[in-house]
Amino acid sequence: MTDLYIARGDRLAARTLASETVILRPDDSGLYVLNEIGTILWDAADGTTPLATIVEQVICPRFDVDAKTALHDAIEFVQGLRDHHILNVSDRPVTSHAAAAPPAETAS
Amino acid sequence: MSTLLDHVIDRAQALKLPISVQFDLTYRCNERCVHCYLDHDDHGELSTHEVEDVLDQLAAAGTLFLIFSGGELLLRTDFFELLEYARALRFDVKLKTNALLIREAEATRIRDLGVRQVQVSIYSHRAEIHDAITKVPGSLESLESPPSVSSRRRAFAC
Repeated sequence: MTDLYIARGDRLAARTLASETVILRPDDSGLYVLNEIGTILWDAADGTTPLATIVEQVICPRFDVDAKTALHDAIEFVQGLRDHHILNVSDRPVTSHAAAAPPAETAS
Repeated sequence: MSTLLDHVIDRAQALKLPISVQFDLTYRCNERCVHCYLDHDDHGELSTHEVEDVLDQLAAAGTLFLIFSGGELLLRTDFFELLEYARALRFDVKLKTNALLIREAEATRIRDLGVRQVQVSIYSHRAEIHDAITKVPGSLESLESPPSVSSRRRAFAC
């Protein structure tokens, strides 16, 4: 399977509140709240780490799920976020400035 | 949006996080509105670095909704530097401005930086009333005069 790379959308406002991430699209005021796993993917979406690696190294150790199932679900999830312009999804590393920057600091 | 927004606000309150903050960047203003709670005098203001430090702290504290107000924001020569800094920290930014200093170039930059809302106070469609409130003759006309309004409208349209 081709590696997928995910990167946070450049223009989005976002803040992680404990285990949830709140995201606002400035162009249309679209509001989204990511749950714990969504927040893990958002935090890891640096544009350079393959999605399969994120799943294998971050998600699988924390949740009782096999890598194949988790990757299948993660691909479906990130494609949904791509459709809402939350994540950029590519089959090659994404090198935008915002994607490379760490997510804004987390409040707990 | 309201249900989800309510969830976000409830969540922030439960966690005791300052989810929404208004940050007055300056006392200075180029209008003298009769109802204003500020005296418009220059009492000094935070430096660029000091503002950025506060923004860092607000981001770490969990603030998402950030309102930049004043005084008149655009009297700060570092305004766009601060706005860019705030957006890089992924704040949802709203501006409160009298727009007297916003022309096409400024409006375009504000749009391109992903500001979600700009609030401009217009007190009447009659210039004599608006100007009597702002105490600045020609202030309404300045907002309405071409090319400023049409160019601002084009620039802000997404």
